[in-house]
Amino acid sequence: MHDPYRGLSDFVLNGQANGLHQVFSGPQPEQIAILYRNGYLRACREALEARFPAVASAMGEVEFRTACSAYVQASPPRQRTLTGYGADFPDWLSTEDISRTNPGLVDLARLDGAWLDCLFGLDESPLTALQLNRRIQSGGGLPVTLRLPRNARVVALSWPVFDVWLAIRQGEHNAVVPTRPESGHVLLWRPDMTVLSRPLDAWEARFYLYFQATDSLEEAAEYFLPAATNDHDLPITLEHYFARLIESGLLIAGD
Amino acid sequence: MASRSHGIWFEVHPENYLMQGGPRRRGLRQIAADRDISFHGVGASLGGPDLPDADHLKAIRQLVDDIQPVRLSEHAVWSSIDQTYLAELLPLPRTQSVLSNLVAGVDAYQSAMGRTILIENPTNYLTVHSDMDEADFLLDVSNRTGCGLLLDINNLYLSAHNIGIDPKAYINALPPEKVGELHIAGFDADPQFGSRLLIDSHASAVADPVWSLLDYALAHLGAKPVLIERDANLPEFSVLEQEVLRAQRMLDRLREPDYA
Repeated sequence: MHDPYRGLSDFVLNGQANGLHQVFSGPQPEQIAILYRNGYLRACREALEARFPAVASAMGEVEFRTACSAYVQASPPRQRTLTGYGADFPDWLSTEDISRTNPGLVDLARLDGAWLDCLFGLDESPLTALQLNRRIQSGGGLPVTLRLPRNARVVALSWPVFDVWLAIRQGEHNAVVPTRPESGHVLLWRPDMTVLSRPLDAWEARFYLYFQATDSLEEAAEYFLPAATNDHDLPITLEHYFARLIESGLLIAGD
Repeated sequence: MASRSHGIWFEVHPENYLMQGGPRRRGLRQIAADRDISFHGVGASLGGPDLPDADHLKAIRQLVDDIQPVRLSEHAVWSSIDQTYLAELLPLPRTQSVLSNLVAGVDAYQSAMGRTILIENPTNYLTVHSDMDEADFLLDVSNRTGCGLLLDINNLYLSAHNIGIDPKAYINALPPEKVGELHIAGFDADPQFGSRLLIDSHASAVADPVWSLLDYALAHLGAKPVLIERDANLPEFSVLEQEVLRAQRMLDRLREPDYA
């Protein structure tokens, strides 16, 4: 004897039809109840495709569909909305065979996921140069605390896929995922309604990770170690870098 | 957009706006500044084996406080079990035991929102085991919880077609004061079963039999807010506007004085 809830959920989640008679009258209810199972799988797949468009494009429809089915089986949704479904999809992907033949996919997934998290993150108004000037001129000095926007994300990569990811997101469907590993970091942030992103040098990654963890620009500044190469396009003084942080909308006044 | 007094209002699934920020949520705020918004939840699993998820209700409440919708509604269905969300509006067997679950779910939802809600009749594709018919089942929940009903005319039409209930008898069984909103929508034939099985797709124009049933419902229930649901295959706005005007003319007729 099946609990009617269990009878239907077993079918929706696993395709086991033997409990459906506990819920529905009539012969072969599975022929029509398949609507519910298909609807569940389609909703999950569409949520994953919306969250991981670059992965879907790089894998192709058939392979992505197969991966989604396996992921949904392994990690069904827990929250009552699919908007955030798939948070652990990159980690899951890293354990699958496809990530061994195409290892850049995992990093594409991390970038896709971080992009959406940043888009849906907290709205905050960054400190502007004008505000800072007014503040200093009125004797207020620097804000007591300066921090990164809460929507900012620093993504660690094992493969150099940032340019490929950008190209795919901009509609390039023939972008090729690199075949040689190279670690790096990418910063994503949203000063207004558009998500911005850029790759980080190794010292910048340390700077931003520490800044994010401590909410202290002063402490993070100890990690300010710009490369000494002549052709480096980054400003070489902390003052210039501070100006760049403001210009990029990366500082939030905490007081 | 024209002024709020023009009468057009919008309905959204609150589950699509539970993020902290970003353009989607800002867009909703902008619409809410000009137009009445109602929330139509799809994720609470009101009639499920467990009470609605407390974190989910808290998130919905925060959105309600932010947007101030004019109405809140949910579905008389279930969609989660053992902390797994099944992302479907699953039908409820209409038994006393399930009735108790639905009453508890509606009570929890209304308590979390601090206001009453409307619950919507489902689309039936199969006949569920039941001790009572659907109208009585929903009215019982309404009487026990104080919630109102959202009568989805399209769901009712499809249920009548798919499992053979009498839609007019269903409407006649509903006291007008219990019904707070009406929905109409388009449907499509199932790819496998053809016109034997009609699917609530929200992807087509509202069909004539649904308009007729709306007319019948309005005559019985009186003027109610009417929503046209359209989620996919969106046509030109002017086409949707014609449907809105058609519904508005039906509502206006109810308000005209009878000189006969």
